[in-house]
Amino acid sequence: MGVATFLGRRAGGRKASFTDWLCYAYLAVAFLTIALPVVWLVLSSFKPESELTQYPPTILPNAPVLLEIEGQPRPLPAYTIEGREGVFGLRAQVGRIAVLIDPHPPHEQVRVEATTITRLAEPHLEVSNYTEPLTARLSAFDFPLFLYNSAFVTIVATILSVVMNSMAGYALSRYRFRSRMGFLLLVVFALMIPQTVILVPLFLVVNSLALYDTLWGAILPVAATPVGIFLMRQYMLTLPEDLFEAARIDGGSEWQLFWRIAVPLSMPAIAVLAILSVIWRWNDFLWPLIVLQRSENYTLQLGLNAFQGEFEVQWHYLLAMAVLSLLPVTLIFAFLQKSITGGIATTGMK
Amino acid sequence: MIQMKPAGLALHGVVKRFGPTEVIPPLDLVVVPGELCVLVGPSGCGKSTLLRMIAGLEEVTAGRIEIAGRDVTHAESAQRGVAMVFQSYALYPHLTVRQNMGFGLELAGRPKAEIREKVDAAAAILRMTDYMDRKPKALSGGQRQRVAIGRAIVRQPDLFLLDEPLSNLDAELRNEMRVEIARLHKELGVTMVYVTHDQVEAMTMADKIVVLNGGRIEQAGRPMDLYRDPQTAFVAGFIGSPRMNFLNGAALGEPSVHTWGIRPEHLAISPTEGDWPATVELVENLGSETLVHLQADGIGPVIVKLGRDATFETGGHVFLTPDPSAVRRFGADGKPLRR
Amino acid sequence: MAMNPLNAVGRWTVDWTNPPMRWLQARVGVRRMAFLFLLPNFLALAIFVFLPMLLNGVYAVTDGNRVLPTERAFVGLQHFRTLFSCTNYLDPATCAPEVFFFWRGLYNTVFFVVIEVVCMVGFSLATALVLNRLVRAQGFWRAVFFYPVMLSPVVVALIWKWILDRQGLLNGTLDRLGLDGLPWLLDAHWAMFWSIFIYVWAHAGFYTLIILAGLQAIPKDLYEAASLESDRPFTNGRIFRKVTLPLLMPTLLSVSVIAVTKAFQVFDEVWVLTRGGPGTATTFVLQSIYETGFTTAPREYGLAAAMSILLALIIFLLTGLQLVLSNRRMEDR
Repeated sequence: MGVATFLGRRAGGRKASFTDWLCYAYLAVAFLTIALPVVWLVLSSFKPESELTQYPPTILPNAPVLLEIEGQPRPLPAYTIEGREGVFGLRAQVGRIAVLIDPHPPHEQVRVEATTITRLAEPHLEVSNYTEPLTARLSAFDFPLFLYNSAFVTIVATILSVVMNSMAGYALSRYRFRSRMGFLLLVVFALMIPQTVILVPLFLVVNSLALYDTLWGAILPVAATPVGIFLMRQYMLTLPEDLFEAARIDGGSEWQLFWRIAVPLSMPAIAVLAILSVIWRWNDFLWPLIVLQRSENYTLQLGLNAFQGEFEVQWHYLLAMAVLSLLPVTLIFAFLQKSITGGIATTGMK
Repeated sequence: MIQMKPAGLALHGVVKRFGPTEVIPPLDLVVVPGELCVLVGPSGCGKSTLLRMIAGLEEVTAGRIEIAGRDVTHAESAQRGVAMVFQSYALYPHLTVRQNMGFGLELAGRPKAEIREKVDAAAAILRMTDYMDRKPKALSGGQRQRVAIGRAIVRQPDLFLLDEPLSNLDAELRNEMRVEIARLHKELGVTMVYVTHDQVEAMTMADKIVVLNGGRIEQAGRPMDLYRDPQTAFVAGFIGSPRMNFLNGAALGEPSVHTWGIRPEHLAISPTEGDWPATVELVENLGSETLVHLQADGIGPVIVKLGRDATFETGGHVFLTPDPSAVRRFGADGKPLRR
Repeated sequence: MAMNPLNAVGRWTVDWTNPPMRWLQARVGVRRMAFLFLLPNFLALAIFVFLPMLLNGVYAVTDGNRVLPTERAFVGLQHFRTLFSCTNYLDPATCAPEVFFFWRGLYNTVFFVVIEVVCMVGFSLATALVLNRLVRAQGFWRAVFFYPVMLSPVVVALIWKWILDRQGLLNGTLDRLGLDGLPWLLDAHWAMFWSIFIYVWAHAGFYTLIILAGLQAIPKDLYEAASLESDRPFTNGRIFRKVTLPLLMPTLLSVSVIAVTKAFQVFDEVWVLTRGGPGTATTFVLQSIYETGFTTAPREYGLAAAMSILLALIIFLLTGLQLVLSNRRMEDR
């Protein structure tokens, strides 16, 4: 069975129509548009600095082949010359004239038009793009610290979100009290206020609480996610009341009921909330940008932003660190794709 | 090991209102220690609400509840010394059978060895020893029911509350579990309050039946007393299967009688002679007994239960004769008329 | 059983915290324990959402570079007067210099929102329709389209900045095809184009997901009923117009409400990509608020708060307007 017939098969064994082929074409183009930039980023992140500046760009990560030639102070990049056998080391290029040296004795010097020579390259993964920023400080850029800060903000904020949201969701789903509707309205209200319209006073509040330029200042204002309350409440509404009554009769306190019954039974919802929260916090940008001042408090996103704003952008490091920042999110997505898309489809929030 | 000290239960003028609607008007009830008391009635009669008030899951609007002589009206469920078996079993899906059964003791912070010992004892009583490490979803309905009962036993409550515990089981299992619960009641000697809408369960299990209707106690007493001597037309109709034939007194020449009742088993049927001519409409042969649905001329529809296999032709004419000693006469207020 | 360690942690936590909680429950009763559960989350919301919202108003009517409201001078509506000081509102150059970027940003944002929302909803709808036709591998394709949503805006901007670089992939490819490359992000029109393109690229998966859920909620038998009742044979286009679109309308409307409110707050991707440039070509309203409040010296908290209130009003009004319009369309049917 050929690929075309396989792709063309549809439910009921009907043959693919023109519309179907249009759909496949659409998918193919969209796939390239989405995948290519990311793939390009990953490929580029493994290229040596000299390779990144090649124009037009090369596709796969390569490194120039270098020739050790007797009498030369340093290795020379290898080139072939149109119409001549063998490989030559490029010693200099002045205007349109290239000066090359034969690696074999008697080390003949060749002068040719620059357009007639072709560089030799071999596949090469420049791992140092990753290892160097992670082991040595690049001027003010301490990427291991940024990584740690990002992880700290993400993990602490997620734990806080999960605990606070499940507690609130529990109260709003399992208890009947007169002000319940009022609290639900407050949640809706909080949902409708984007953080972006309260930046200035939020900055004041954070400042007064002595949280300015601390990681807690990036964590606390975003941890009380109203979306999370809804997610948890909707899920907890589906738990049978009998389980809680049975535990009450068995002598459980409300606190025990929450931790020993509501929390374990709500694990699917808690997992969705935790995943979403990790992604939100890992990617947060504007608020940390405002609240985190000194570079030792930067999260990875702030570090990347500042690094690319430098006068001389060190693309080889920048791309590698960008890939690093994609890694956790991509891994989470690869393994938990269903619960993420499911959770977003049910809450209508991202 | 598992030892129970059966407690008595007393309700004094207990009232329940949801907003303006009074679900249970002032109600008094006494359950003596060791008794299996069945609250029975049609759905919406308030029996479950009553049980939930005893358990402390529903607040009491007015009145007093005593368990073992102690006023528990405003005590939390946990302080009442009761255990409850739910219609849904309320098993924790994330825990194994063993964890489910020991959950109450664990919440109370009892030592692990004690929990283990009691759970094992309860498992032995319920013959569940082989299933202790399973999760509830890997159990059959009957086994789940046992776990739910086991969870109650482990806590050694003064008072067992069972809320329609058998209604989720199929007919065969229901009979089996009915016997099982009756056996447990005898073996453990506990006080049980058992809610059901099924009068067969009530008749077969109860030491005392309490028939509820509209939140009121219609009658309370031993099963056969209720069967033989119903104090209201409602009880007469509710207890016994198929239900008592209710006929119009005026049609039978007794205008002072509002409702004239005779149980299907107290009517004789004869092809040739009798008090009431009737037409056979439907015959249900159940093997050991036969239900004959008839239309008595000028009287109305009547059901006759025969304790034998019998054949009647649909549309055939027969004669019915009521057993005069079994006739129950009720006034317009539903109260029996004495002669 | 991956969650078992988590359960163990929960059990351990509850074991040592339970005695005080039980004591509290005995004091306040079962029902009031609900407020204990509400407390942490609503305390956080009160401090970090509701209080700031009220303070926004305080800031907008006070002046100075001090942070504490008590140390700030009351200036009444001065900031709003500054905001509305333009002699010609269509030309930001005629406004007071400190609000030039705001108005410039507002016009850019409105332009951005209109184009972006149309593209976003159109593209997401098309994708959702295609995905909904798929018989197999629908989950895979949904994941492909959703993946960019998960990426950090900074990295999205970096990826595209790298591709759009003067010596980047795009120019290199054009070069190989014999076409002339362009300094994409240094041209005002192209910078706006790429801002919109990248924003759609990064977020369309989210809207696709919602629309797809809406499509899949349409009962299948409606299509069969429609084709049975019709005397004309149903083409794909007619099915779409007569059945799919009307039933999908509520989803599309709520999607466009979300899209508009989100688009009005565009900042991260574009700011990292262009820093609002070239010139002010891609300066958006949130960037002007950020710069007024946090990067200019002295910091103009009051003015920035006034701008925030204006932005909030615009968002609320547009959302409200869309909801009213959608209600009317619902009633018309």
